[in-house]
Amino acid sequence: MPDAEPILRVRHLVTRFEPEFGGGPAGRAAVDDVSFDVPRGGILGLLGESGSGKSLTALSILRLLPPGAHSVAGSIEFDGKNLLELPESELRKVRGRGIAMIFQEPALALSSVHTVGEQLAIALHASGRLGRVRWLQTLRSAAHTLSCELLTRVELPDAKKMLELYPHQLSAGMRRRVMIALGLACRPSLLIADEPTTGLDAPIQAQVLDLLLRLVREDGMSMIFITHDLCVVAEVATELVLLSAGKVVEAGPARRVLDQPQHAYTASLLDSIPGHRDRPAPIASEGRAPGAAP
Amino acid sequence: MSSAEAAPELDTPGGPAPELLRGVQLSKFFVAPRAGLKKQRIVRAVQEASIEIAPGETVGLVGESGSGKTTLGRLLLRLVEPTFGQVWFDGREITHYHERDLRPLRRSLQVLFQDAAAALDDRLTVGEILAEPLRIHGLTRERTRALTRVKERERVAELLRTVQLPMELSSRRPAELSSGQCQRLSIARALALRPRFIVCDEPIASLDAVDQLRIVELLGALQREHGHSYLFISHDLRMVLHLSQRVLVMYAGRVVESGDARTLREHARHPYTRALLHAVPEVDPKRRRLRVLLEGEPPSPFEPTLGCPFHPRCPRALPDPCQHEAPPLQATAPGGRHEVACWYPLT
Repeated sequence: MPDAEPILRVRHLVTRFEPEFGGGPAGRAAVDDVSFDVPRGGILGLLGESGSGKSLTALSILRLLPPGAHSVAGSIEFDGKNLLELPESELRKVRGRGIAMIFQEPALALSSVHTVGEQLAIALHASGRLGRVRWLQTLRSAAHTLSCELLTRVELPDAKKMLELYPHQLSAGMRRRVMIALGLACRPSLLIADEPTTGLDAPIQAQVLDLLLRLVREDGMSMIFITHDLCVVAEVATELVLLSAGKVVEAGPARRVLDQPQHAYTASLLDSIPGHRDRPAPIASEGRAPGAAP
Repeated sequence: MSSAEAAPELDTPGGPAPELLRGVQLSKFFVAPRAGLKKQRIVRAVQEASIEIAPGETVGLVGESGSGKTTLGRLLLRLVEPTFGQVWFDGREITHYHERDLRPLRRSLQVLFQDAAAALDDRLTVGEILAEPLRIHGLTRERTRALTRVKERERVAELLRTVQLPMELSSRRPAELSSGQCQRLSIARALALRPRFIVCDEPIASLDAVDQLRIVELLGALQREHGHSYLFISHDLRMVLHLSQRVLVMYAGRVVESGDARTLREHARHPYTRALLHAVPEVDPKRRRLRVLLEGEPPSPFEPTLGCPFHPRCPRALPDPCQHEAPPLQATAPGGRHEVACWYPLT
């Protein structure tokens, strides 16, 4: 498996903000010389604290950077093409169909004025999966069938009814599932999931993680899983890349990084998990009663 | 520093209770406003929840969002009026205290909010934020205004030091602080009045892992120094078990299990608590237990479930009595502190 050609190869990627967009002193790069491979069928965990550049790395891959940010050096190889050199029109074909992204905040990423069904139909239409149909009626029913299929795949109950609902009528967990369905709509070969479980309660988080893992396995997709939560990434990732201040701090097979961290930063992250290695003592032990209340 | 000195006349109970704070059979029902032609609906946010917090103790409160954790925390602080039940503080029933009588108690009862940045006034400087509670409660009042200012400034510096924030920040505004610094500032503000009880409502949920541990360690150090109690509200069972002596698990507005943190970690008896324990992601694959995933969505507060609130998601539920009657919260052993509300608890 390791000798197979990786599906995505990122080399020496540098993304920086222009000074007037908060580029910082001396043009500190938000993503600074980042390199990694996503193995075919593997799950790469991209880990870091907020501001470490993990989301920007993902957005650089799809060239969906916020205003003022540009990738200025490096290469991103996908499917034999360097995405950084691809013209916008060509890159459009890669987005969604080659590489799809599940964005961090469903409340923001979903349109609040379109029903779930409409949003899925738009994605399906853009993917070309509806084919070239001349009759609107046929197009509609094709979109409807495929959307129902997608919602069933992400284990949303009562798919037909769900298509008529607006995002605000769904629970947080359901919205994540809709986001995943949208990501799958174009049958990508690489899925980028940006904090797909952050902000969910533990039971729902476990459900969504299970679902993602199952879908990736079933479709033979590869995935980049972005998170700040070391425990979550440990559950899913086969490879790990740890970012801090835009630089790769540590990278390697997930098991190796977690069991024998080479870098002090990784070790400190591991130590910040309560109960891990039984290191941190509980806040106050049984025998405590230091001083009566004032 | 006694907060009892300004307290109003008391309706003293039989004897001094060992608890600092006690909630007895607290319920809170909200009336959801009518939407369109729909009928008014009643949301049972908290139902018959009892809780006791001893001086210097940390009690954890876990549950999914919408389970009523925050409402219970607010009931204890008298920020929300209970529909039924009583709140006792320091041996006095404060359920029906007027706001005027509550004010001296407010000093002793503080709260940390999840979104620290939103809970801070963004037009005030850090120094002003910390001086405001001191001024309201007249803690730094001196003969002249100038002397008061000096004393205020001293206390603000002291507070910043306690939460390990640099003195230079006192002229900054909250927008210039990081989220971890905002949370430290809220802690300093809560401590300004030397409280005896602090409700921590998801204080670390929006922080990074490293910041989370730092804040938790700070809270622990402050407790050891000042001896106040915490009610630590979180959906993160791992963190709650780590830092509390006792833990209450809430589901759909009811306490379904309570006991010592160690007991719950090793011998949780309610299927929901067990499922929560299973749902926690683990770094160590050896510790990853055989997963029992909770099916389905958390319950809707609008549609009360007949019978045990957990039965639609419970792998052990039987038609009788789970679907007909809600199980009472009962001690697992006579006189024990471990209580569970389940007809067929796990062993």
